[in-house]
Amino acid sequence: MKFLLIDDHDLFRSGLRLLLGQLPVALEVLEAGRVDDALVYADQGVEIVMLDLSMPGTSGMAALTRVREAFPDAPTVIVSSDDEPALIRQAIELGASGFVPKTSTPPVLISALQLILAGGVYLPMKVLAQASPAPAQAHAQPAQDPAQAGSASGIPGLTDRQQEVLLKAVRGQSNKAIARAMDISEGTVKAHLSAAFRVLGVSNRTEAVYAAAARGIGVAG
Amino acid sequence: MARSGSEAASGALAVDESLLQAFVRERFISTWLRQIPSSMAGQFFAAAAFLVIWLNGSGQHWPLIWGAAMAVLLLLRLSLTERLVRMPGSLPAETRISLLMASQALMFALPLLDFAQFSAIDRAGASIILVALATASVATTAGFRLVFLFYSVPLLAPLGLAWAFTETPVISSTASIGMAMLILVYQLYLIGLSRQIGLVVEEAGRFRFSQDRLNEALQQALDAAESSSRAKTQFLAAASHDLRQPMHSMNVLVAALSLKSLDQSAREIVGVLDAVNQSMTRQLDSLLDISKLDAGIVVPQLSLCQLDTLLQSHVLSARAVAGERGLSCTLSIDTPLAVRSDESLIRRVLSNLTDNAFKFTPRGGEVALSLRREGDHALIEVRDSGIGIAPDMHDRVFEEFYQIGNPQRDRTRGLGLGLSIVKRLCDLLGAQLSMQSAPGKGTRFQIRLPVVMAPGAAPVQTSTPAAPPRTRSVLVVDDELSVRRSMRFLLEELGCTVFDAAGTREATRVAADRSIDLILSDMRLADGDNGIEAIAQVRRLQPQARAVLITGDTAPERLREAQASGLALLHKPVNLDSLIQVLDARQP
Repeated sequence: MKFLLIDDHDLFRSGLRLLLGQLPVALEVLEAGRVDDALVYADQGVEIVMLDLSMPGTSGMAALTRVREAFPDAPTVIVSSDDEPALIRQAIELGASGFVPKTSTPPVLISALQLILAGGVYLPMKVLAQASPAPAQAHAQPAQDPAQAGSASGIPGLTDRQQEVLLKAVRGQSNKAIARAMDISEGTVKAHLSAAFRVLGVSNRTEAVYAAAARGIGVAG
Repeated sequence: MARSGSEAASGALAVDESLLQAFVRERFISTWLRQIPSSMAGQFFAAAAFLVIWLNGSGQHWPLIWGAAMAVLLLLRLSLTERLVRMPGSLPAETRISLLMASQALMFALPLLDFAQFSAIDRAGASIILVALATASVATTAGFRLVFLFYSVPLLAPLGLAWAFTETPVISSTASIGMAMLILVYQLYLIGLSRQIGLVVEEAGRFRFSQDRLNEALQQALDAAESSSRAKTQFLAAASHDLRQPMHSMNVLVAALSLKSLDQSAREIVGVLDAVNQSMTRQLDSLLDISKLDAGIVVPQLSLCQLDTLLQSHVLSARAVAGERGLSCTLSIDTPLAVRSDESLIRRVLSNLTDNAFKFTPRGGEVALSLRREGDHALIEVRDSGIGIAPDMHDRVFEEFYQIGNPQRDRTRGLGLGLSIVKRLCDLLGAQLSMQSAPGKGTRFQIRLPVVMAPGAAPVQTSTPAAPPRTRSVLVVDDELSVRRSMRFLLEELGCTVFDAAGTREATRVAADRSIDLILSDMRLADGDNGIEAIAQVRRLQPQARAVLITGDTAPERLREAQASGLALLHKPVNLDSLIQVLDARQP
C-alpha cells in the first residue's frame, strides 16, 4: 500500500515513517516537504495521503484542495497541530476524510493510523463529543475507541452495495469515480447514497463523515 | 487650585516657556476669532445709537456718510477678519488684531470732532457708548494688554480730550474737566482689570498646556505598554508554536517505540518519556491559548448551546481522569437551559476548571458540577473539596503563571495558566466568573450566562412536576369567585398550596395562622377595598411574603397608582408563562 506523507517538518515525517514501519501493514511510505513536491507522485497509485494543514507559504485549505485535485482517488487524512472544531469541519467539507491531531497521545495515534489503514474514518473524540453535524443517534455512542472500531463493519439497514458506495463517498471519492469503480451509473450511486444518508440520519457527505467516525465504521476495501 | 495644579504638572514636565507662550497666544487668537460675530453685532448697535446722537447734534450729512462707512467696515470685518489674521505674512497675528481694533476704535471716536455741537444729554450718551465699548473689550481681548490698549485708548483718550477742551455754554468747565478726569481714571481702572484677567487667562492656558502635555506623555506610556504587551504575546505565540513541532515528532517517536518489543525497564522509560512529552505539550498548548486570546485572534462563534447536554458530555469525559486520580466527579442538573454562546469555548472553560479542581483535590475528594437557573442567568458551578485558596490569594489565581502552594514550581502541575485562560475566555464570552474559596474548605467557581428561552418549549418544561416552582404557598385575593377558582386550579397544577380571599379582611384572617410565600392580589376589590391595602395588611402578619399586584386597569392614573405602590405588577389577563416566572423568581 502506497502512503504519501506531506509535511514540512522533517523530524515529524521521520517519526511518522518509523511509527508506520512498526504497524503490521505492508506500506510503502512516500514523503514530501511541500505540496509542490508531492505532485510528482500523482500517477503512482498512491492509496492514502496524509497532509499537514499548517505549512509555510500556503493556506492549509488551498493545499488540501490541490491535493484532492492531484489525488482524487486517495482518501486524504489531515494531520495538524491545530484541532479547532471549525477547522476540522472545513477540512471535511473540502473532501478530507479524517483528521488526526498531532497532539494525540501515542496509543490514540496508533489506533487512528490503524483505523485509517483499514479503510475507516478517524475524527478526534473532542469534536465527536461536541454538537457535531451528526444527529442524535450518532451522539449516543461517541466514546468509540478507534482501536475497537477498526474492524467494525456493517450498518444495520444498509445493503452491501449501499454501504460500499457510502464508504467510498466518505473517503472522498466523487460520485463519478465511484460509478466508474463499481461499474454502475452515477444515478445509481446517488440513489444508494441518499438511502445510506437516510439510514444514518444525515443529509450530506460531511455529516456522513462525522457519523461514520462516531460509529467507527470501517470496512477494508 | 489652578496654580498648584499647574505647578505640580510643570514640575513633572518642565514646561518650555516659549512653547507655553505660543500656546497661550494661539488660544487667545482662536477665542478672539470665535467671538467676532457677536462682537460685530454689539458694535453695530453701538454705531447705530451713536449715529442717532450725532445726527441730532450736527444737522449735516457727515454722520450719514460715517454711518455708511461704519456699516461697510463692520461687514468687511465680519467676513474678512479671520482671513486677515491667519494670512501668512511677517506681521504677527496679534499685531494685526491690534491694528484692526485700533482702526475700529478711531472710527468710533470720529464723531467726537463734532463734540462742540452736542447737547449735554448727547455728550452723556456718546460717553456711555464709548465707555461701554471699552469695557466690553476687556472681555473680548481676554486680557491681551497690547490689543486692549490699541482699542481702548483710541476710544477713551479722544473722549477725555473732547470733554476737557471743548467749550460749551451749558456745562461748567469744572464739570467738563471733572468728566475728563473720570474718564482717565476709568481708563486706568480698565487697564488694571485687563491685566488681572490676563493673568487668569494665562494661568488657565498654562494649566491646559501642562494637561495636554501630560495627556500626551500618558498616551505615549500607554502605547509603549501596549506594544510591549503585544510583543510579549507575539513572542509567546511564535515560541509556543515552534516549540510544539519537536514535541509532535517526539510524540510519534514514543508511539513507534511503544510498538517495539521492549523489556520491562525500557517500557518504563518509554512510559515516563510519554508522560514528560504529554505534560510539555499541554503546557505549550496553554501558552498558545493565552497568546491567541491576548492577541484577539479567538472570535466566539455564537449559536444556541444546550448547557445540560454540554455538561453531560463534558462530565462523561472528565470522569475518566477523575477515576485515575481517585476522585469522584458528579453532575447535577436542575433544569435544561440553553444559552447563546460559543460551545467549544464554554467547553474549554469547563475543562480548564475541572482540570484545576482535579489538580488541587486530594485523592478521595469530590468534584461536583451543577447547572441551575438564577433569575435570567444560567449558573454553572464547579465545586471541589480540595485544599482551597486563602483570601489574599483570590485575585492572584487568575494571573498568568501564578500557582498557589507551588513555590517550588512542581512541573507536573503545569504553568498555572488554566485559570487565566478561564478568565480570558469568560471575558470573551461575556460570562460572569466568580470564585469562593477558603483554605481547607474547597473552592467553588461560578459562571453565569444569560439564558435564552427556546420559543414555546421552555415554559412547558418548567411547569412539569420534575421542576417544582420555588414558591409553595400562595394567597390569592380577588373579589370574583370565578377568578379565585381558576387561579387556584392553575396554581395547584403548578404544585402550589393555594389559599384564597375575597378582600382584605378575609385575607388577614387566612394569613393569621398560615405561612404565605406569595400574595397575588387583584388591584380593585369590592366595596372600595383594594389590593395594595390587602397586601400591606397580609405583610404585617407575614413580612417574608412576596407580593404581586394584578391589574386589569389601563387607565393611566390607575396604573400610576399601582406603580407608585412599588409592588410587582402583572397585567390581566395573566398568562401561564408570567405566572411561572413569578413563582420561580427569588426576588419580589
